[in-house]
Amino acid sequence: MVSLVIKGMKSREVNRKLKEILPIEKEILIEHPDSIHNFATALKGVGKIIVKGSTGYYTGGFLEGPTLIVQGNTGMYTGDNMMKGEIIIEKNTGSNVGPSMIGGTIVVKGHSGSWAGYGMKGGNLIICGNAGMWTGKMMLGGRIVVLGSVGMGTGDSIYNGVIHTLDQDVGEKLGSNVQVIPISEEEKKEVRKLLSLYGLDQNIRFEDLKSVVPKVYGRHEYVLFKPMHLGR
Amino acid sequence: MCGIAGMIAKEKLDLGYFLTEMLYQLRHRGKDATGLVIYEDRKDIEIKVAINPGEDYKSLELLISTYGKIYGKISNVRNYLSIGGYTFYEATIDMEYQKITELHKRIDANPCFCVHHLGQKVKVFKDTGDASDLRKHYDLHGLYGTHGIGHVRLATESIENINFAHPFVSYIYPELAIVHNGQLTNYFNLRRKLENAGVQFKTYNDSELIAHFIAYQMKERKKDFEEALRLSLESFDGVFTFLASTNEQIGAVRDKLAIKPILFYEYEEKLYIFGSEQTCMTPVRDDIYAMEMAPGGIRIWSV
Repeated sequence: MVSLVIKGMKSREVNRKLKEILPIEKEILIEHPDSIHNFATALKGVGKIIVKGSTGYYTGGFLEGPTLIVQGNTGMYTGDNMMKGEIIIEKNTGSNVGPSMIGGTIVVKGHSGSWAGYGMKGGNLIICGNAGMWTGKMMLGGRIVVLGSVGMGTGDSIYNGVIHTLDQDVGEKLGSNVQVIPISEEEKKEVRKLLSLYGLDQNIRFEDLKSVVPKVYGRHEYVLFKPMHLGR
Repeated sequence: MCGIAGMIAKEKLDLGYFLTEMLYQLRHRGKDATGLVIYEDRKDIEIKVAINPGEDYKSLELLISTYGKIYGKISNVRNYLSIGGYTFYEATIDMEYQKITELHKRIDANPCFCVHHLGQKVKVFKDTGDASDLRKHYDLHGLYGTHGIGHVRLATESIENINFAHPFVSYIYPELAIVHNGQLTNYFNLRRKLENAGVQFKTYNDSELIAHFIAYQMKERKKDFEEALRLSLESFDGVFTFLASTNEQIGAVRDKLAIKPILFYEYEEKLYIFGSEQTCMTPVRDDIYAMEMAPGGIRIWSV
């Protein structure tokens, strides 16, 4: 394991250094992150990066492969467009965690702000605490698990994918084009398996989980106006 | 982007220090200007006026002296890149409180001067750059006020100028200050309506309109603070979140689209913190869970 003190360094400089080191050292310890923005963006390959502290906006954006463990909080847009790998946040995250993410898994052990999983296309997003408003807004695929409570407008304008939550009042907090259905046995197994990977399956009543899914799947058809045919 | 922050301390707290630290944590949201207003527990009426480059302060002093005795000073010239050297006139005035509105309006009517604060409790500090620049130019330690609000600016709607920086005050209702994050899309319509009602504007910043709008509702239409904020939410168009403060209260307003963030944290009815991001609260309280304000919401906290 190699240790890196990045205090005072610019995002571009840090990311360049990570790209250089990751193929050689498979484990990197970051000290004094100073809430740096754009940390570990567009990072490819295999390896583990452990951050002793908090990071800022766009942490792990476009991440493709590595495991990123932040032992503090992260800012807005964590895991933006993430493709593969893992981001584990030991404390809280800001709004828009995992927007448009395509694959991989994000685990937030604390709470999350609003718009978690906005436009998410694939992968898994686990929030152990509470999520803010509009969780999974315009989601196109993937799975969100919220073990705490959700805010208003949950699943608003969702196209595809599923949001599981232990919040028993989720039915009163839904956005448009979503409904709450009981969780299926198969889904229960999948969620249990997913949570067990991160040691989060203890003391969870899986039968209490509710699924938020679209009322109408896929692209919706809207007829805005009918053009007049002025044929001769 | 802009960032806003605020705090009510019911126990003795160095508000100047903590608010500056909070704004420093928000510096990534805008580095064009940083400003804050603190409500002190004092009796004197204080004034601070920015004087345009090359202008003399004698006519200003003459005008103020017609309202009462002055104990004043003039600060050194501060040079701002591409704008020029501004001077700041600060004074304590022994005058009637009821005449503050009139004096404020008369000073602002002169294009060479711009009042930053004039009142019995209010004290405004603003400067270009981030909070570290503010710290460099003002001694903000040991300002034990009751409450305060602050702002970091990313100039989008109007020019970069010290007089266009937040917090904005209104001559109509002395001691009212606002900080704003967002854009008002019906600014010119509302400005025309207010101007027709006799309101005098100083800048082309949409945030100034918020201050005048609320002040107008409270002073001329005799609405209370909450009703004035509710009317502003109904009348304003665009995306906006703002904090408004008076001598006794701080109010937060968020539009129904809720694009611009605002979080608040309450600690045992002793401490209330507001901010655009949770990270700005860390200098005051580490690892807290701040609540987000609902879309289309108004909340008011009393000092």
